[in-house]
Amino acid sequence: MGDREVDQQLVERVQGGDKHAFDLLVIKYQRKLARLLSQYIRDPAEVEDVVQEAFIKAYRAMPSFRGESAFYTWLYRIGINTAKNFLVSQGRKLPTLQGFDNEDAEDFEDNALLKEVNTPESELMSQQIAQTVNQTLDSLPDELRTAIVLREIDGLSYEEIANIMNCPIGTVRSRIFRAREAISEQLRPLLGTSKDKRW
Amino acid sequence: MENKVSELMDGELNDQSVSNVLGALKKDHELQEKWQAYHLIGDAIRQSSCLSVNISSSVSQKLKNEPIIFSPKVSTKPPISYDRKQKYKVFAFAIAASVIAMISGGIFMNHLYEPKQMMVVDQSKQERNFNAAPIMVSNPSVKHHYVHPPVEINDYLFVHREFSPGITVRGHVTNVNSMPEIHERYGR
Repeated sequence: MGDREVDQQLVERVQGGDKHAFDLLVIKYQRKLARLLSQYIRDPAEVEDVVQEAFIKAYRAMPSFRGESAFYTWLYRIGINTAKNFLVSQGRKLPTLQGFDNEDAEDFEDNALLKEVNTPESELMSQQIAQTVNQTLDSLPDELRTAIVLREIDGLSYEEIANIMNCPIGTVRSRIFRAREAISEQLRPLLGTSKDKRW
Repeated sequence: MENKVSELMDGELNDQSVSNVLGALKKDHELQEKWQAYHLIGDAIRQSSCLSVNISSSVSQKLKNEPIIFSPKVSTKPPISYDRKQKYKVFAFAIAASVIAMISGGIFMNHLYEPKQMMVVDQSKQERNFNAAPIMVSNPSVKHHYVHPPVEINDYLFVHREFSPGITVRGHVTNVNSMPEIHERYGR
């Protein structure tokens, strides 16, 4: 079952009355959507508000989602429309960026026009997270680092990674999981995700 | 179970396992944190900005006031309503009835106008020689079976002429004789 199918499973659970499944979709796509919308809305607080509103709208519109497109593509359109409405309500001019109405939301992620729009606080937090992840990644054994990079950056399947690394798929599963666990452990104090504290 | 969460976010679990892990994620707060952390790690490795964005709890809080969604099983084909189904049924029956009527009519007409060669016999010759061969005069596209009715039929038609629809059509009534003519012809 691929990534899109997992999303579809989550969507079907939401459509079946499981609100918690929608939380998992929010966790998964919140940063991606925020990054996209920050192209049109400069104020980070406003970006968060619009992203939040976009997710609420997506939840309300969930019964009409029929899985004809990927969930993220559908969410992307809702996000863009929410951003447009927000800018119109503020009496602001809509940016004329290439890709604003681009249906291929996945490609838009790599748009070179994207810029950092964090506030000093959020910028600091982002830097700390990125620094921790990168430092931990560098300290990982080669096989763990290679496995997780091939997965997260190149988007390869476990089978493809196994072929490249010349090892069984089970080993790839284990390496990626161990890499994530190692990084997650380092992030725990930063995120406050200890057993007695929530992020 | 954490390793299953890792595999789930990579889309590397089978259907049954996905269902199990999603069920576990719903109940286990530790697993939810793993889901969150693993996605954050992925975004950080991809050098995404907005790493500090975390609106999941506020969205979750707002959704508490939203009604729970219960929508029917998703289908790629648009569902056909009951009314539309009924209309389709009636339409299908109408089509079927029309086809049957056309076929029946066709068979009936075909039978009625069954192609037969019209033979016209020279009656004068026939009276003289019963063995004389008939002479084919024509082979018209529309064949008629026309036989002169016996005289008794004329009587019958005359008696029942008031029931004939032709009598109501003025100016087009044929074969209607006045009573004196009948008496004169048949001696009644």
